[in-house]
Amino acid sequence: MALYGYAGKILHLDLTGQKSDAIDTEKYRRWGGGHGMGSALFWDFCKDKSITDGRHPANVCCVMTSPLNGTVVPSAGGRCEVVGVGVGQYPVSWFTRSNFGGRFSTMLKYAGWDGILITGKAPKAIWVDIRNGKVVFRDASGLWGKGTWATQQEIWRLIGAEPGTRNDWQDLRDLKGGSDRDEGKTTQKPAVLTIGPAGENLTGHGSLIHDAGNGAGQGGFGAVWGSKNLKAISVLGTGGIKVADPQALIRARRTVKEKYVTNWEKPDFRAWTRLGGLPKPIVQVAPPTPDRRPQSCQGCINGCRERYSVGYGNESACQETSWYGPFVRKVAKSRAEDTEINLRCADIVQKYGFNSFVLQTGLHWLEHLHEEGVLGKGKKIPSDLPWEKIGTVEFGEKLIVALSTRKDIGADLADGWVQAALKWGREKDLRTGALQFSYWGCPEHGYDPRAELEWGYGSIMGDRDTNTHCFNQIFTTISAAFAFGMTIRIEAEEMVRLHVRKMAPYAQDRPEVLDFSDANMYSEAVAQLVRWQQHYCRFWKQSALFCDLKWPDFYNTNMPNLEGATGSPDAGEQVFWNAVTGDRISLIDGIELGRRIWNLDNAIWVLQGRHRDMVHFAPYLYETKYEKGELFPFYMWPCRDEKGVWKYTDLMGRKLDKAGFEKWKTVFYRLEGWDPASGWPTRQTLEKMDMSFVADELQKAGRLGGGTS
Amino acid sequence: MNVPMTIPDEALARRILAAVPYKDRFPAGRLRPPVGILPGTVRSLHELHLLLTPDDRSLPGVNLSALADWVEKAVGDGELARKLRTDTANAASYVEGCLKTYELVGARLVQARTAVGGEESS
Amino acid sequence: MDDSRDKLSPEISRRRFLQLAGAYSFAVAAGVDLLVPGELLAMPTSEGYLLVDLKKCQGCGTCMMACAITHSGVASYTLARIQIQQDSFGIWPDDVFMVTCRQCEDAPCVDACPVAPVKANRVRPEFGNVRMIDQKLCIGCKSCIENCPFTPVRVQWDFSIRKSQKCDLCVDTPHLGEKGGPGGIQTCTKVCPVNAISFTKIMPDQSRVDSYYVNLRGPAWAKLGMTTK
Repeated sequence: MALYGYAGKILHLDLTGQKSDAIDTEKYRRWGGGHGMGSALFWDFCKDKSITDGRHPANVCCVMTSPLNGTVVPSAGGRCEVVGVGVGQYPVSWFTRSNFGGRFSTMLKYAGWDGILITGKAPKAIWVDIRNGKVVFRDASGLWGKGTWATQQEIWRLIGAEPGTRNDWQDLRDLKGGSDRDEGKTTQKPAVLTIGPAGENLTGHGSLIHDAGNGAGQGGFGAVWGSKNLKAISVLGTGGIKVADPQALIRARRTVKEKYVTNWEKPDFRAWTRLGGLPKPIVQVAPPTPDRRPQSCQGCINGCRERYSVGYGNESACQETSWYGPFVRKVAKSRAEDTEINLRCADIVQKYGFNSFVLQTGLHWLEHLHEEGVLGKGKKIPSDLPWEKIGTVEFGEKLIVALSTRKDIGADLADGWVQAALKWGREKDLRTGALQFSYWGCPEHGYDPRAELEWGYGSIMGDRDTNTHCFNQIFTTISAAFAFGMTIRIEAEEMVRLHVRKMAPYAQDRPEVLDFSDANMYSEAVAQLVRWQQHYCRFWKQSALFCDLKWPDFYNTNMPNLEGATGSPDAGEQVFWNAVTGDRISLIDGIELGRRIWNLDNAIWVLQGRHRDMVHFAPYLYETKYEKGELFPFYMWPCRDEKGVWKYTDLMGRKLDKAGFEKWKTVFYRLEGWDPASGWPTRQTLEKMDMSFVADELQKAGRLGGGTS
Repeated sequence: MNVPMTIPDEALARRILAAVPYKDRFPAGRLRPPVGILPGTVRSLHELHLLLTPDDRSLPGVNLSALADWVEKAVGDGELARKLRTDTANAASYVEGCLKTYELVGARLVQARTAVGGEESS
Repeated sequence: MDDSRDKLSPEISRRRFLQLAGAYSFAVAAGVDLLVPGELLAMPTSEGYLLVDLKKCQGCGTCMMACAITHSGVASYTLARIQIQQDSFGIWPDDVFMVTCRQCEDAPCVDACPVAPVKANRVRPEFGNVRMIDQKLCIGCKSCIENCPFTPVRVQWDFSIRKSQKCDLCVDTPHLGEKGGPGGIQTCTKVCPVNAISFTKIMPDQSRVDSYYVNLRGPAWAKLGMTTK
């Protein structure tokens, strides 16, 4: 039977035995792809699901594609999901996820694999060389210690891939250690995913890096690989992926470009849309030069990264270009210098394979400790870092090196920042907000949980900072419009209507789900919003692998009726899924599948020891208010007033109420069909989803919700 | 009518160009999707000026009325503080207020650098 | 890789044409079948060409994947008739190279095709003189691949069926859903998110390699802050 969208096999790397075998994808087809398949593989292959440190040898790491990867589904062709037990979270490192872009997932599909399941631990440092069906474990002693860029370029050299961009076709038989039969030719370089020193030294900051700037940062997967002596995986593929209805796919792709994206001839640079803008790299500093291009993952409709003529900064964007900004301003003499320092430091974090997200709030805390006189040379928290040079490239590099190699303060911070804070006797910083690590030992993202409820709730009910941008364009777009005094293109009531009309099954046509007013903060409606978001994301974004930056597209001012592409009959997520796979699912079917995956994840967390009593934010969110206007003048969001009238309202100035949140949790658990006393799933809920095997294992562990047998 | 600020004397100029102690830092964020609101602080007018530099990728986050108080008390430049209050009071929007602040702070920095015999800033 | 093969001398073309013109006249006079293996008779020029902006491409590979999909229903880099090479660590603009078939006036790949009496790789007057490969006739000898003077070679090898293929300006695209070819549309130009590929009916200067590289960056590009030089 023809398999559309899928390659048909999952590669199992048994690092202990340094052997590989193929798993039939069909066995896991019900989970869709990406995260869903990864969770299911983890469930089957992890021999001890109670582990709470990703460096435990029983940990299983899955690097998974979706059937849409390697095709032209807009902003879904190039993402890749990573799952496994993480490192460095608090109080438990949950089974967690991360995601990265570029061309790795495309190349893996073309090599004939839907994903990679990694088990065991290699006896010594290795890298894995995948060329179509040929999988070889190679000695990585010459690579260990190298940065991520040097590693990739060395692997290219070891394979015999030509440097540069003006190369002829390379026959796979002509590469070093090449194929012994005709497997075709390629002009492409191998796609490599690698760790750097931060992962080699088993720090919670360790990331997986691909090409110059694609990173799976959250979760400490760099340390997971480091603990398994796995340095890198390289993949080269000359095959292809069959598409069930190629004409429908091309038609839908063209529809997105021609209808939903603003046109190049007369563009609306300020269009309100997630999918429909022109390439707008999310680099957080002024560009260093106009001599540059936008750069994107495979299949993206408008790239979010850049490459430059200046020799630094390639492909870094978003967080890695912003973590150092407030400190660089102290030393930069000009905007050009500000840009250069920030981008050179972005290069450093990429090369070390370091997740700089912790520094977004963490470095302010370290500065605070230094300025208070408790951290520094000869101080209670000893540190020989040149704090007087904070903001310079020199300091930035020394800091990253220390954190990546467990030196200086890196020795304590490597295993988790909250853990380090407690060790240093700084528990009060979690109460005052001096250390803004909001949930599970993860830093606050920039969307304060006291204001943007779905972000905080989704994070705390899950496993990490949720990093799912489905709704917070409401905040950024409206707040920017207010800041500029611009006409509001979509009023509050219309804004929520445009969202909820597409939010079946739990929130369809229920605008109250998006009301974040004080009166509605702990409501059943907001619980439904969080459910919808987590289920949508678990399937459509984390399993089907639609990019979080572009999807869902609820509203779109390029369209006369303002309706975005999400769920639309001509270019919705389901249109693309069905065109590629031959399935006939609806948007809601995908959300239901997401609910199952979310339930499977929760079951893993429960086996790891989760109980509702642990599910709480960092104390500062309950004990301090989100200061009005301090870091930005307002946090605008649609709210209903006491008369039920919708308006954009400033959400700053409040805190979370612990008792209110406890009640909200109970509502959430009930809606999910989980035992509200514990937060554990019940047999009844699991069996309805065809997951009795999960109920059986939870029961054996004495952790099945509801007490039913 | 736009009345220029008086040239600061050397002592004031040096305060304008200096960084205030950490305890007197002024909170100042930045909004740039998709990262959200990035926290930060400024400890000098130079840092503030950089923060407020207009670009089409992000928005600075400062409490403009509190800022004038900070300029007066922490930096010690009463004249600039008064100018900030009056010139931004009638700004049509927050962004216009930031732009006005950017201009005034920039002009003040130039005055201060000239007063201490340094080069004008670029 | 040395690009010196890429530079075609106009002298060669004219000399070759004169040689062949004699053969052509003789063939006509003698009533000999014009499609003589190994001989290049004056080829009518293609009615279409793809031009690319090397500084504009965002490296998304959509053109490659879409090309393969519309031709064969399979997404693939290896079967893409347009190729994008990238080096993440490279310096703009040399971090990306875009490569399309030039529909050469004097196509060596057509000349080299040994299949007779009808060449597999030949000019198709019914499709705007596109130089294209008929895979039903292709014998997989790879002469066309070996004779393409460009780097990378503009003819691809489909190892699964052991035949050559090349850009046909979307003449044979059963999955495009619209007419392709010089009289229709080209997939890559339509799907490119940044419009870094364009189609023209005017033959670029055959004596220059860079005549197919154009500047497609207009006012919107400038407004985004990127160079239009």
